[in-house]
Amino acid sequence: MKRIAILLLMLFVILGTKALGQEITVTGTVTDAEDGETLPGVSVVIQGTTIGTTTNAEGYYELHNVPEDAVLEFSFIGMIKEEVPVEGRSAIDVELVPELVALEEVIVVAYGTTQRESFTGVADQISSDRIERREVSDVSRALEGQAPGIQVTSGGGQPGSGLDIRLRGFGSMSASNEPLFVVDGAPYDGELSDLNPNDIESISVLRDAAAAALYGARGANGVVMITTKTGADRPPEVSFSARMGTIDRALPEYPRLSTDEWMLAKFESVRNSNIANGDVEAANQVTPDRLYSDLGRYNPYNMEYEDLFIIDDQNPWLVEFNPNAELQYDEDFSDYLLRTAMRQEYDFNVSGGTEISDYYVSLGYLNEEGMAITSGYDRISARVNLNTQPVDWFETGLNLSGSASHYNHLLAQGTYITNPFFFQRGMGPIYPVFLKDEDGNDILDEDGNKIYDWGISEGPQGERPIWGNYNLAASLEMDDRSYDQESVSARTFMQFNIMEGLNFRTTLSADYYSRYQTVFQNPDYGDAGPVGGRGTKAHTRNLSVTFNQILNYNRTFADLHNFEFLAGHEAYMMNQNYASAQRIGFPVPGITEIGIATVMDGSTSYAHEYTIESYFSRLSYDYDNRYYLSGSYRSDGSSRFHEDVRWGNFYSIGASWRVTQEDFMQGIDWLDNLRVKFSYGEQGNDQLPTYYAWQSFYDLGFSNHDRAGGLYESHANKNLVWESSQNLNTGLDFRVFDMVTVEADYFIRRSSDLLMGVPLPYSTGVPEIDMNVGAMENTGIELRTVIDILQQTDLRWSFDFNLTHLQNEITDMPEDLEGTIVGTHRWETGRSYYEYYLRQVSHIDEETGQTMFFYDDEDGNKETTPDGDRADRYFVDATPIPDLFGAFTNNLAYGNWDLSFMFTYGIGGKSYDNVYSSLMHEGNLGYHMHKDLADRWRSPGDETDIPKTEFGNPHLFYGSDMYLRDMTYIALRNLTLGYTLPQNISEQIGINNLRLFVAGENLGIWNENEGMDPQHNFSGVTDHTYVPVRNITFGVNLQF
Amino acid sequence: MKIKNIILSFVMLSFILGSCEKDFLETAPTDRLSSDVLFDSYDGAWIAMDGVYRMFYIYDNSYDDDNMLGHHGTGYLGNVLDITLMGEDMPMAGRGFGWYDGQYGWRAHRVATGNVLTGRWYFFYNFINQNNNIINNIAQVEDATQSELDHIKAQALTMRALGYYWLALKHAKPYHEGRDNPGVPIYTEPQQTGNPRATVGEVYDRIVDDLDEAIDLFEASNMPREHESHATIDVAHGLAARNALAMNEYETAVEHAQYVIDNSGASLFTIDDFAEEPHMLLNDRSESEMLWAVHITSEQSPGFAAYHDHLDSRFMTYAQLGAQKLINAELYEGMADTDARKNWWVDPEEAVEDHPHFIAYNNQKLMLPNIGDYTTDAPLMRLSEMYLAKAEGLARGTGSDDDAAQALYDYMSSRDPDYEISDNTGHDLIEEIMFHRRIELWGEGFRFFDLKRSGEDLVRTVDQGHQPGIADRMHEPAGSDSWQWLIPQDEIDANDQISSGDQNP
Repeated sequence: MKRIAILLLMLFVILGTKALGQEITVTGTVTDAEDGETLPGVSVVIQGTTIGTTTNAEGYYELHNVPEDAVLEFSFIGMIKEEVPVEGRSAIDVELVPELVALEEVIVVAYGTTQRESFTGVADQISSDRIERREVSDVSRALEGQAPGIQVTSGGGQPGSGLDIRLRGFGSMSASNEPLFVVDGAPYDGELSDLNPNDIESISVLRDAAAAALYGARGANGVVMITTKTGADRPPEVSFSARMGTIDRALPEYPRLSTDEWMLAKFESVRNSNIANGDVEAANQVTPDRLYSDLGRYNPYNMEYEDLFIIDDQNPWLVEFNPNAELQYDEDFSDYLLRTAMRQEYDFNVSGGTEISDYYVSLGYLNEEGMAITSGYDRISARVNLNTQPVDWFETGLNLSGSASHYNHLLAQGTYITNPFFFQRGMGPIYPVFLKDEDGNDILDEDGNKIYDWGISEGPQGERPIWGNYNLAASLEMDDRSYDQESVSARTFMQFNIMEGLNFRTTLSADYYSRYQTVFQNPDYGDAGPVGGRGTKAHTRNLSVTFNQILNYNRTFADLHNFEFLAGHEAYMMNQNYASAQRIGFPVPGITEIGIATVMDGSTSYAHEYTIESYFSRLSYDYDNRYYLSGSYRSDGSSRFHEDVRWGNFYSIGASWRVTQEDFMQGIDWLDNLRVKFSYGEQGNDQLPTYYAWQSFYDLGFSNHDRAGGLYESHANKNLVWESSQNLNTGLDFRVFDMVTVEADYFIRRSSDLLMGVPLPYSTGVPEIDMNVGAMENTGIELRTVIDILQQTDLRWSFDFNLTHLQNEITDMPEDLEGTIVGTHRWETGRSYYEYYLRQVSHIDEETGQTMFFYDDEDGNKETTPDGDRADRYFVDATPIPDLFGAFTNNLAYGNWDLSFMFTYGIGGKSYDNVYSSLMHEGNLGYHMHKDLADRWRSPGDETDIPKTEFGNPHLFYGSDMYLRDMTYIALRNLTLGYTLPQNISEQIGINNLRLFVAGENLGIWNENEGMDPQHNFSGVTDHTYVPVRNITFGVNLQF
Repeated sequence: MKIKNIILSFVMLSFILGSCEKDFLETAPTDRLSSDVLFDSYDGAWIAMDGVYRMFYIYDNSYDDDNMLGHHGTGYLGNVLDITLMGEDMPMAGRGFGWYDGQYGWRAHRVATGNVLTGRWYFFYNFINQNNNIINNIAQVEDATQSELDHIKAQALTMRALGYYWLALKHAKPYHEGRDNPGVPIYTEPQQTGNPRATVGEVYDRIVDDLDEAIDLFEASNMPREHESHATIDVAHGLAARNALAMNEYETAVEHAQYVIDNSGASLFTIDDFAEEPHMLLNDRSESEMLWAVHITSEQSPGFAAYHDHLDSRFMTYAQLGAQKLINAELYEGMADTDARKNWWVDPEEAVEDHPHFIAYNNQKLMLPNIGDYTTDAPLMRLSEMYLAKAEGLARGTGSDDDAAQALYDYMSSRDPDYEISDNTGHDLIEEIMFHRRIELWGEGFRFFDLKRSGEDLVRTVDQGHQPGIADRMHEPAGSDSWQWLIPQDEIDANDQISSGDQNP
């Protein structure tokens, strides 16, 4: 049979040659215009025919029987197609120019790779050059803006931290909304920051059902697949990069009152709280004294309190600050707590291979200081990726990586007093860092050094009314909040090629990390001062193993019918242990080991175990590369559910049609690759906060003195099943005029059987029970366009733009949960999960300066009241979900120069700015105040939207829509300018490639509310977290 | 080729067959046990019972993820501080870091969505449910004698009664205003659905029944106490006396108090006890007057949330950082100079300006034994309360004033060597007894309840030491709506049997 075919083919070829005539043989070499390297595998085709060849390993081609007037098309993945008229020449060398933004042709999907054009799902692949361009320590940060549908938080500026990612909105209420991360084919349980971004070859973001379904059980929130670099059959390639840069704050501080303005506001605050029977003048009289004592007898001015305030002759309400008052000291804690920090990173790798084996070996070192003192991160990472195929029927390989990191951490979140951002922001401006005498001069110790002011009457002042016994400028150095983390991640596989098109592959993957944490609070001041210091040592170890076996079958029938079939089994196991011990009473400073401390103050340990077993299959079929169909089915059992109901079945179907492959489209040459696609599928989510939701327990951690004690903690729900997510996607992509590529998708993502803690009446003694209730829907439009504006060899410019519009709605809610208020939000059918539900401010009363809130009276009429407790809450028609978000990137290359810059943006959405609210509050007299308070109500008749200040009257600044602020923003997220040394020069110094670059991250974030982080988190509620940082880096890449 | 295929098949087969064991998907936690397992054994039942006692000083920071009780989360003892601060006898020197100022200012208990209100409600119902689990599962224990089972059940019943006592006094109108007023929901067994508000009468009947049954079971089992934190027959009688006062059933109060005085074996402190280190009296469970006390180790202490952390101002914590808990100056000044109890507070004559601990009238009564260590005992019931309950019961009830004065004298002679038996009668005598009760039980969780059950106005004055800006509520007439803690909104939302119309006005 084979022989007959060969004979026929030869006959055909012979006949064919005879028929043409007037033909010549063309030879030549194809090289990369950028680095001059020869390009193997370039397709060379005579235009309008299917006759062609590809270049060999040296980039050489030879094409026979070419008509003298023919045009040759040279095309290669990632390169701009070149069309060259033969014009009778027999030698044609061609330089191909790389595309600036290459849409990858081969993309990594679940359990394999696929051709972009044959893929029925929605996936974006982000290549290594786009990752390497980013000066980030955690790879999650490199994902922002790279594709539509990816919504991220800012992640703050804590060194080594990543950001949170949501794909296509919010699917769950109580269960996790995090996408599944898969590294080299196995779900990854380690920390993303343990991966060196420079080792990453590509990241695929799988967004729809057809793409993510094969991770059925855990793919409900989308899948992010990370593939690391491998070697190839080529001579060794050595590369080295070094980067060094600075880090400082990307957002300015919230604007606050000047010291003079602040003092005046405080005067009014205390005065207003002192007014009895409307007698303002009497209140004015006693206020300076009271203020002096209430502010802890701190006075930075060159005069007494009673001289600081000048009462208006006409209107006793109006007080002016004495213009002659001068500050005798003016110290700002931020000068001592924040800094410009350094970041440096060095990476080295070698890769290469032979026909049989390939290798990639890397080593990386990163050191990143934080902009807050004592914070920092460093990481040493290494990787070896090996693959070998010693015989044609057997392949095996190992990807092994390890890292050791140290996080110098601090509590830079929330209202912990040890959070330097909170501390420097909230500390009233009159409070100095160092002890001052009555004249405002530094008090010095015996050695002539300044002495820190702890606010506990160590100088002439009294107690600081805010954060007595704390001074972070000193104590952060005395404390220790850090951890060491070591991780090892291994992926190993064996593949048996049983026969043509059929193979069996088994993969064993393991991720291990160990985190050893130290928290030490110094024995002298602050939190642990009273107990003589507190030290905690905690250890977490986490091992997860995935083991799978997959049978793969690939076959093409009659050159038209392409089949691919896959079936597999997978087992996943996670095992986590935690142990911690805490002691108090450290007799000598400087030692943080707890053995030295005297009193046991707490110790605990526990273990978590979590397993999943899965069976899965996928069938893909296409007819003539025109019509594509795919389907997958997966069955997962999770240990989180009772054995009778633990198995969930998930599936997907996908179809696409490459319209431009049709005969009737052949005449249209301005349109390429028009494709329509559709997918639908169902995935699952079992990521409850607890691992044992179906069981009922006594928690045994409640001993009573020396007697073991336990408390009934949770009800069992043996009917708990997988939360499911139904995803529909329909999309279109095409390229026009060989210049504009467009991909557009519309999706509906519906989650149902949501895993939620359903509140029980508190009077039953157990606050909630986990149940499957409710449904939520996300619908959205995603668009990505890439425009190759200029494609000349010397000047190239492309513009990459994406946007996402997303709508989130609760579509079903059981009666018990309807109307549940969660912080500033309220769950209600027909509204967004994140819809704000707040008190509403009507106006500021002109006569009294009080905030007037709306409430509904008994007849349902909207009335106003100054009593914040009486105020009703309302939906204020706002959510933190932007109307549109996305990014646009310009990539330019001119000669040896390259420039790229990416903006990300969000339009619409409201943030509930808690930080702003804290600066508008008067909970603590010593707290700093927001600049907006300069416009406060000061005397009867004032028309303003900021109420008066009055200490002890919380109603004025009760949580309300007053703190809703627009999130619309645009940020210059990244800019990179590079220069590649011309090859003839670099080769003289023995270097294949040398590129110098300067890059910046977060160079500007523009939002109308100064200081606010518009991407703080998905719920829109800000807090005092580590401010996002700006990074400016110089670097060099060398390749040998 | 053939050999290779055989090998391959074998390898594949072994992978697939060996993949998962049958119980691969069965996982269980290592630090938890199911109720079934726990109540299999007597030791297990004790674990549940001791968990209940841990609740007296548990750090119950949150009842759900969004509502943190923070440093109010001090278990039962946090409630004790609430009830003291809501009276007029514990002025706060300043707002400090803001903890407990909502209770002191009479705001926290009137915001239906407030986390203190909700957290406290949940605390007592969680407490009740823990006991219901014991009461309903105890029969399942196989390796115990009847008297062992009775011993545990009696304790759980006593504790359940305590839970309802608190809820009734807080969330319902006082008993004397009528048995038919709305009370709080009653649960006598674990359940997942809510119950409606029972009447005040039904709730108090439940308390009385539980205590009566507990007393019977304690008598029947006649087992020794295993730890000072455990309830005993004396504790049950003592609570019955407390409860009888709340119900204005004075004869009953006297009977129960008398039982404890006669049978507990405890004895009153002596004047000598006060002479040295008076602040060490109430943090030692072995002291003669202690009927019932918890022992809190530093490790089990709620730390910053600890009851003592809010009270002991020698410690650089809340009580020192501006929120010192003072005694009502009028009470202090009302004590005779020879009264040993004066040592429990800082004499204004000896106050040291700017020393946070030695400011005038500052607490020295409820203190930690050692600075730098949270280990301490805390009193839950003392014999002096029984003497005072007896005296009050006699004075308010049908007893003779002479007997009442004698009962007061029996107590006062242990406090003031120069005290002479009172010749007050009627209202004056009651006033005198209450005066000493306020001093003796200062900080131990009585004053708001005493005002409420006896129908007296809250009257706070600047002279007593209250600053209007912090105390907020300086006067509240008896019988007003503000005396009732609201029902948490979360309860109304989740409980089908309680609607917003059932909310306290």
